[in-house]
Amino acid sequence: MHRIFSGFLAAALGAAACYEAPPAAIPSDADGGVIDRSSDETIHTLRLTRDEYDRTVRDLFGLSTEGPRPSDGLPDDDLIEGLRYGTAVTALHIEKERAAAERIATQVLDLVMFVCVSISDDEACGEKVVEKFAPRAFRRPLLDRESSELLALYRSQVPFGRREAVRTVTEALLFSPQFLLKEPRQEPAANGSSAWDSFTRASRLSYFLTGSMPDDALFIAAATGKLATKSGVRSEAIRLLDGARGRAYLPELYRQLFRSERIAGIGRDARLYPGLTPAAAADLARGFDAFLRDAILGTSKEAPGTVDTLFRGKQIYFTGTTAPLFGVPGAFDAQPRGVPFEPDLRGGVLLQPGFLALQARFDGSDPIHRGVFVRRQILCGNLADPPPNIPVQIQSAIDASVPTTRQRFSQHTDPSHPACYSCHQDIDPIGFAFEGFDGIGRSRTTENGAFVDTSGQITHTSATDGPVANAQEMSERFATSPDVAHCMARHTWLWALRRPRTAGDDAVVDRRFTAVLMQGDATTGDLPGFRSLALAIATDDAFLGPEAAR
Amino acid sequence: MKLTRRNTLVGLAALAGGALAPGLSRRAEGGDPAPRKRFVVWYTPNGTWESAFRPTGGETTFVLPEILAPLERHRDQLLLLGPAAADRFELGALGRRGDAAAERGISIVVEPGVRSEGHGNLKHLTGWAPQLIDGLAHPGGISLDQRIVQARTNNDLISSLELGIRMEGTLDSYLAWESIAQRREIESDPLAAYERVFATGRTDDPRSVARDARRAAVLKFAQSQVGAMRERVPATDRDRLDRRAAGIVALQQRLGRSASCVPPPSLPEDDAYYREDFQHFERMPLAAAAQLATMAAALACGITHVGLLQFTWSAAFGSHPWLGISDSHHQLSHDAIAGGVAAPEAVAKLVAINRWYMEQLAHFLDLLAGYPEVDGSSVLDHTTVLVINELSVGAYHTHQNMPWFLAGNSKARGGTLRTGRYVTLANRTHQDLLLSCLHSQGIFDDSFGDRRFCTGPIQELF
Repeated sequence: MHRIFSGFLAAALGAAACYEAPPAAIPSDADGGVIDRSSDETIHTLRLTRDEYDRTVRDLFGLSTEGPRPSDGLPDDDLIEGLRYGTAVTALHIEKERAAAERIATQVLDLVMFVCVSISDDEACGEKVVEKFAPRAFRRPLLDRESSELLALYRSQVPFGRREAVRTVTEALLFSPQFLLKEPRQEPAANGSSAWDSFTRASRLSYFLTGSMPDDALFIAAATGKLATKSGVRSEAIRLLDGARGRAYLPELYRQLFRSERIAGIGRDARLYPGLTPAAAADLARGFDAFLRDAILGTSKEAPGTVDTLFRGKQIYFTGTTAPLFGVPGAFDAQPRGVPFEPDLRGGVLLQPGFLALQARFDGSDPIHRGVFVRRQILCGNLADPPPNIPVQIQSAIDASVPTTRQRFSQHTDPSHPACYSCHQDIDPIGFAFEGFDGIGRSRTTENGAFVDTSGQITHTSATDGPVANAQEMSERFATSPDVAHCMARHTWLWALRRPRTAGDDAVVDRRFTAVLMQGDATTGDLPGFRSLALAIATDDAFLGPEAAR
Repeated sequence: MKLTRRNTLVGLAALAGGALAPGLSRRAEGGDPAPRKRFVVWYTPNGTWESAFRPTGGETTFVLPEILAPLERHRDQLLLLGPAAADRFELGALGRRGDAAAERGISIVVEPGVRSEGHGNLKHLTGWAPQLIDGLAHPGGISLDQRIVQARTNNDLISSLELGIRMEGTLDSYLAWESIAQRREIESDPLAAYERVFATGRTDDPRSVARDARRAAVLKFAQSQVGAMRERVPATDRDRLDRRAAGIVALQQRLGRSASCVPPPSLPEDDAYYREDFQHFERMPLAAAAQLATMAAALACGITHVGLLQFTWSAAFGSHPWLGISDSHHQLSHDAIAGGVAAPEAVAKLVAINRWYMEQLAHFLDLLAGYPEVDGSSVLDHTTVLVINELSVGAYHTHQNMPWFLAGNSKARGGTLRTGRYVTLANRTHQDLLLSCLHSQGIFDDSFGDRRFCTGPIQELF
């Protein structure tokens, strides 16, 4: 039930003028159809995304990650520029949130009741349940009014039995806006400005770094004033990042961005790709995730994950199911294992089989979507959605008179077809560099008997332009590109805030974050890389205080 | 019988027909003077294949071609629309800006001088060009179905029911909009839809007293918390909390009322088989059977009077394996015309897919026709079904000669539309058709959507 990469419909289509070089000023839509996804207005009370909801419910009640998702049945999150946000509020959301609260309250009732196991007095049981669960559900101490209303709610249902009253309170907590929404609260700061209060900071840190509610230690840090100082925030951020939950979560941004959850579901023409069974597709997904984990986390504190490991990491991940499909020698089992495979052709995330297989057509490679993905998510270029009128058709892939995919798309990048050319000049030459890989990511030198041309071109960036011989060379360039670094930092910044981009974000990102990602942080001694970037964001004024104040 | 997801759905399909009659008579006892008007939108994506879609023959002697053939048994209820005979569609004549011949029949027009638009469903029911809000495309106005909800004071248990069959939501796939920023979410899980329609209200089961008390208390508590939070948040966020409050009020209103004219449904137990699989393409026929049955029953029982049935989404790439077609629907729509020439294999598949959707429509009309009204007519006789496709020629993304038509609400049987006809039109806009739908519901607005393109209701339909 995932939202679809809307770019799919760009396949084989032309487009209006459509790119924006990354850090440049964002033109308005009137300036030639550039789609500006940013806004001037910040939404403060965003919903928990479905992923956050799952993690939060499981942490709140200590549920295992096995079994159905707590968020089952909730509508999908909004997918904006590759990331999911809890922006929409519809009547169905409210209805489903209530139904989910009811279902989960029933599921966890015995567990919640357990806090009353030695309490004979009904009233005392209600107080205990509220005291134990409500502050954690709301992620802050209760206001006086809230505790009195919760106890009144409890008492009103006691006539139906204690169990029913506890169930009601549990359901009410899960359906309350304090649980479902992330409400930032301000407190006056010494210098007359205002800052998020300590519990808001705790929640922001926790959702950014672990995708879930604060753990007990973080609640204590907030309660004892530790989060009022940057050094206190930093030490908590380090604790979270280096803990098991933080390490498991750091690659999650990139899993979402690359839509790795979709890899397992790819379907391909069995006549062309007989080995691509559902089990093989699932293992491609696991291999891709394994690469991301290692590339983002790095191998040690001294060798953390960096833009370089992401785009040049030499390990390609296979299992016992996928290795034969790619002709990889050696023994593999069910666990994905990285090996230096085809080192002259491959390296980095863009040349992992999982990525190449996902960004492909039912019956072949897909230079358009590979190009669109790179331009949108790796270079952060603003591509317009596919255009109105489509005057030109590509040849069907089964037309044997046109042997290569590249040739079939040639009209796109022919300047005499301006409707196509204006946009595809910035898409296809990037995608063509991947033509050395087929529809499931296997390397190839010919297609239908004709040699494939893997030369490509990067255009309309601020510092990454130029020809490339193939995708490997392009990845090498990305590893040191300031455009790519800015883009990765921007994704991380929006990931941290959990809100769609606003007009001022590029400036915030380039003030400090891009540099920390690429060069590290001289003031703290943090090395370059994703962990340091997360730390820099977590301790930045713009993250810790109201955005209006920055 | 153990009620699992699977046999619930099978049971649902069997529900169609006379099983709901007790409920209907109960509603009649409540004093409805005449059958109420209903309205349903039927949506499929990726365009059609013109020569297998457009009827031949005359106004009443029309012959249904391959795609529409499954509707033959309902021909008296059909109001088919097409271009004037002299301007019949020819392959290759469409999809070019400025091609006069491409402007016949019903066309989607949202900008002066622009005759063709891309994918996306934002304009179909609103009659407006999409606009950017917060950088994202939103519709330009309220959608037709929601205008009907707004114009009425039905106080239905569910103001309008939006059911998806394998729908995945990119924002521009949504058809139903309460306002430019507020979409109607679509339910694609058949069991959840069933529960929502039939199992959320009060039943006579004594155990439900505690449940209803709990639900009421939880809603009241949430309402209070939303109100308090509203006072704490920045002014720019208040609208979001107001919407949340309105959603809670809507649930409160439903809670105290009987939601069902079917035998009190037991809550089906969780069946992981279905929970996991309803979004799989091979399960679409099963999902469709369930969703159509739920929609028909909801309309027949007066639970709602306005519905949307949406098969997949804009530019959907889904496959149709039960038809032996594993290709992407969207890709097929493009592959059907390669280099300006029809590609027979892809065309055959495209036609088969579209025909299957029309088989589903015929079944849905069967369901509506099977529900009797108190006056001896059927629910179908009082229901306008607006059948729309995202596009005309999928390969060209054309919005001219849209393969849209109407069914039901037949004048001959107490309704308002002169059905049983194939009506040819010259240069009517989709705003005109949308306005005509409003009129068919007894809502006599003078315009709908962008006024620049709405010239009035299409008199030939009435």
